[in-house]
Amino acid sequence: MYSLELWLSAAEIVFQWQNMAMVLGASLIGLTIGFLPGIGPLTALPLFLPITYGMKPGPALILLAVLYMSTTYGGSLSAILLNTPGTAASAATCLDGYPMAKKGKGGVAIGISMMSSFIGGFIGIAGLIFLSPVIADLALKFQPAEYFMLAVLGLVLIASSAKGSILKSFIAGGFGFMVSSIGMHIITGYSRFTFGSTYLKGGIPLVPLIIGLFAFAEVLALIESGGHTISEKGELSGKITDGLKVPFRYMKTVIRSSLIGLGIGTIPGEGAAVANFTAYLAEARASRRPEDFGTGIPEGVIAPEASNNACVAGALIPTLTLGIPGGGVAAVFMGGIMIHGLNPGFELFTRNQDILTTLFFGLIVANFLLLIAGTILSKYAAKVTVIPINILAPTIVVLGVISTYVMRSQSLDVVAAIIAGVFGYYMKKFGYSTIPFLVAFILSPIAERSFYQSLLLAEGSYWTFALRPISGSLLVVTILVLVLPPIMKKFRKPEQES
Amino acid sequence: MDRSLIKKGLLSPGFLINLCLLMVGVFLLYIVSDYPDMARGFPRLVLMMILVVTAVDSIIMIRGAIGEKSSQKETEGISPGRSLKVFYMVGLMLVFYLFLNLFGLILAVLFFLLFSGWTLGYKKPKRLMLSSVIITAFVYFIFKVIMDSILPEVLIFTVIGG
Repeated sequence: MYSLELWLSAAEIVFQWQNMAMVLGASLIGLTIGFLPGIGPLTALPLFLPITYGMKPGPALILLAVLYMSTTYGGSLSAILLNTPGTAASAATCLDGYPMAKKGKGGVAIGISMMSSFIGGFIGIAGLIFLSPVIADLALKFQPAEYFMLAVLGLVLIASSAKGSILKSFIAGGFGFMVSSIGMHIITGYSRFTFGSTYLKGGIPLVPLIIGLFAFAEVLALIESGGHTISEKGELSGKITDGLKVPFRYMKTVIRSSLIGLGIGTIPGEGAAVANFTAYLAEARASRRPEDFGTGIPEGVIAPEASNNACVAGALIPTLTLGIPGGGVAAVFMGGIMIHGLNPGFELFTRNQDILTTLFFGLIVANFLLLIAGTILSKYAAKVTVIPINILAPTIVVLGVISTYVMRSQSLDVVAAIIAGVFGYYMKKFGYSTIPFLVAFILSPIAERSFYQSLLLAEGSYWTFALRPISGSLLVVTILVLVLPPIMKKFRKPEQES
Repeated sequence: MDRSLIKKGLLSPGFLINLCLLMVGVFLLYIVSDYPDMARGFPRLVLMMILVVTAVDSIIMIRGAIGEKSSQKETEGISPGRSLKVFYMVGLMLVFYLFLNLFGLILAVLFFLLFSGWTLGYKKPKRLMLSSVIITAFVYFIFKVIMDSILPEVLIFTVIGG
């Protein structure tokens, strides 16, 4: 464990005015960038990586980590106010955050989101500091069969709890898998469903798909609705400060969701995109009024927000302890560690404890600063919901088109995003949830790779998924998730009737 | 068994979509059959799942129609006027992207915001002008000043200059 001397020395570094200004500046930039649809930490971090070259390792890592946290949080603001998640990590926040904004409780939803993020972030950082060796050890035991079953369980959870018909959710998820399989096959390199197109060989990129499915589909729905403003009352009621108190009334939800986020974050490949949905669905299942989820209730905002922020810290656990990045952003973060001549893993934890404690302390301070900066800035962001739709819709189009283009400077990405927008709009219109589609799209590469790897390891035997202890347990949970709700419904009906 | 109810079920948008999905599924299954073993296993499994689930959903839909349970929402048609607005917006998105390539970020964003705002029904010229200028400045600041992003090259001068 880290000595008091190390913590004091870390505090000395972090509280230097240059570093405090840097943390505050990075928080503000991260919040702004995260607010833009489709632009998240994966865009922001690589842009700031060159800036850290000339810095000392401690402050450099703090800068990257603060950007990671603040962009994740910024994404939640647009999820609540525009029904457009800034990143996939905030997609589940739309489900109850946006209905709250529509009811004129945008301010309260933002307050709830901020406090949940703060507590979730804090629990995540605590986990990073105290539990990292234990959790990383568990993640190491995961073999391909476990990864495959985890992907299946994730999809089943999401499909079974999505709004509307469960069958339609499974169909949407199936097509998510199919769209993700467009391009070169991950193992053989064989081109699938490309129809001779060079663009499709690279696969459908995630960012245009997210921008299309959420931002552009929302624009089309807004235009079709013919309403004047997003907020039904035309004004925002409910103070952010009122929302800040709400998570304390749901501490069980906050802690449960944070732990889910932390746990998922430690599993390489399972990022905040999976964590926020899993926490949301776990909460819906645990709730006594699951039918209220999706109508704009506090628990529906608390669960995804606490989990995605805890997941940020969780993703750093395998990155720092084992040198295995927890996801795309963690991989960029690992690059930041390596350009300073540091080696993640045993060496970092033994020889560079001073740098680690500086990073941990910096994260704690940044978490507090984000709460304060968020409270002040979000008030202005909340005004977005009273902007007339005929101004707001073109603005979202502008941000979405440019955000899509700047990711890879590929013209066809914009066309792909627009097609995804039309697709998403009609999916919603005919009762197919876009969320299982997106989750299946994200999980597909992990699921397919793990599927083949497990079969290869088991010499073609499908029993490997059932006979391995962890994988078998996940299989049992998956079956229970599918079978239990209809049985429980049947048992509940006679009770209600009596 | 009422024939008109079965017909209603078979002609509902939901059922017709399922029919299209089944056809797409079969078509993709046919394409996948040409792929090498390793590349086709997983998509084939997923496609089978899609076909089975879609078929079950279709049967439930018809049974619902027979039992007069088909929801109002599913049988509801799409208003042509509203659809036209949606298509207009999709067209505007594509035009904006072309403008971005032709005139560069500042002019394209400004023109697009003014034109789309006005044609979508915002008839307050001064406010529209002000909001368009502010949003254009914000977009430029974020993408060019802060992020220093690579934006589409302005082609209009190349075209005029030959």
